[in-house]
Amino acid sequence: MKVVKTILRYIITTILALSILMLVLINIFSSTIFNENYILSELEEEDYYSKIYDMAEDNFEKYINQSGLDESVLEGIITKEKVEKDSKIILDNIFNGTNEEVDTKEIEDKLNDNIKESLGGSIASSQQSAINTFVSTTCEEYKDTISHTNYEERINTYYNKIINYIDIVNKTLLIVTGVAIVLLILLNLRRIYRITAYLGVGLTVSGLICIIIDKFIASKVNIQGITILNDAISVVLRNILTDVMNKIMSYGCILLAAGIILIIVFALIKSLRKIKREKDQYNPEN
Amino acid sequence: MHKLVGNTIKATIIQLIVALFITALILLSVYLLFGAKIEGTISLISKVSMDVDSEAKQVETVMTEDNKIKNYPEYGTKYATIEIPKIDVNLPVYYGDTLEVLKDGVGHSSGSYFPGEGGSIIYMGHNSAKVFRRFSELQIGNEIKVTTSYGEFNYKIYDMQLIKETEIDKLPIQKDKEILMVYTCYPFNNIGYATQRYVVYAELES
Repeated sequence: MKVVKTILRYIITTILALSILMLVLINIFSSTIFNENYILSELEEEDYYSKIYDMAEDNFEKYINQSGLDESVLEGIITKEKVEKDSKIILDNIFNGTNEEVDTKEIEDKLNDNIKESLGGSIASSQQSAINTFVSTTCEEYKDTISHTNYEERINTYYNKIINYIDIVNKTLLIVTGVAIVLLILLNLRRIYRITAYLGVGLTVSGLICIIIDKFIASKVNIQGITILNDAISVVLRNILTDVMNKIMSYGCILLAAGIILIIVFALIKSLRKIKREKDQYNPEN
Repeated sequence: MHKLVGNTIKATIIQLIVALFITALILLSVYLLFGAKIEGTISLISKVSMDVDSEAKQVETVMTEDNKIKNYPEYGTKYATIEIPKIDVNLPVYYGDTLEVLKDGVGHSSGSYFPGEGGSIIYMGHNSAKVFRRFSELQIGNEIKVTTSYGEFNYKIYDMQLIKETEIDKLPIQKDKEILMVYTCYPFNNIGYATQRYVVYAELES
């Protein structure tokens, strides 16, 4: 019976360690990559909107040379404010699962005005079709530069689903952790100080796994070399991943330290009790 | 006191060993259950992770004594400059012919030879003001200079032709004679998609 109880205690400790680990990881993710405000602050810190603005202007140039129109027609068709506003629409779509379209009517109007002005105020009917194609291509290029992907709808749906699941999983893990602690208390009612050992082991295990995860990923992936879509996105992504890894390492160290302290406290209490018991045995009259 | 310390250390070590054992057990289970998926994800991430120094380690294109190019430039990279003094052109030449490349200068058709290799070289550029808008001013005998990391090549224009975009036989790839063919869209100040090309043919002088 004693062996069964001990095995049961360690099984519960393992479950406790896993739920603490999952809680820590989920909280790290939900406070970083699944947190819209965090992403917005990272984008601002990296001057993301200015970079995307420059990129959009640069991309327009791909078509201006081919169109035969003067480069001046591109002047002032977008502003940094518009890029920021549209980038936030895309981000809102991702986090809220919506599919709000980026409005390019303003760009279209400005471009048409500029073209008309550059051609001396009148557009020949033979040129109209080519100009329409150029305007719509430029607007599409702008949308692509802002959203970066053609899989926007799919990403928005998945991201929103994950955010909803995270909340449910978080609550479930809190319940599992609570139940595991209660079970450990119930199984150690006679020697309640033992709970410190099981909690300590649980925290140590989750801390160690956090540190191992960090070291494993760092040895396999060169985060600073990650390059996806364009420089602006790559830099932001690298910063976010570095931040996530740093948080995993920090939490790992804190959990490990807390676990070791609890284990030492348990060992100290156990030793004191043992010494007291031995003393009582040698001096029964006391 | 010694006994207290000794017992405490012993109990601590035992609990730490238990913690290590549970950690190893969890990691082993994760590896057995999700090992392949984790490896797959890591390798996927590694594919988008470049060695930071790799860009700096670009190898310079050189030419061997028997006129063979070593270390061809990477697609989309600048490897030469083209000068046409008659129309004040001095532009970078990129290996490739995408819109991205042509936005920045002159493109080199990837199916053609490189300067110095002794075959047909095909360059193209937009008919915009900063590229080849003034192509109509070129005349037979005008010079084109191409400067690469492995040498300088001077060509003399011997022909100009207006072709349809589909007439690729007018841009023949051969390796018997070094010919530089540079083309742009025609008419030069056309608005919209141009279906004609203005080609300048030049032969290697030195």
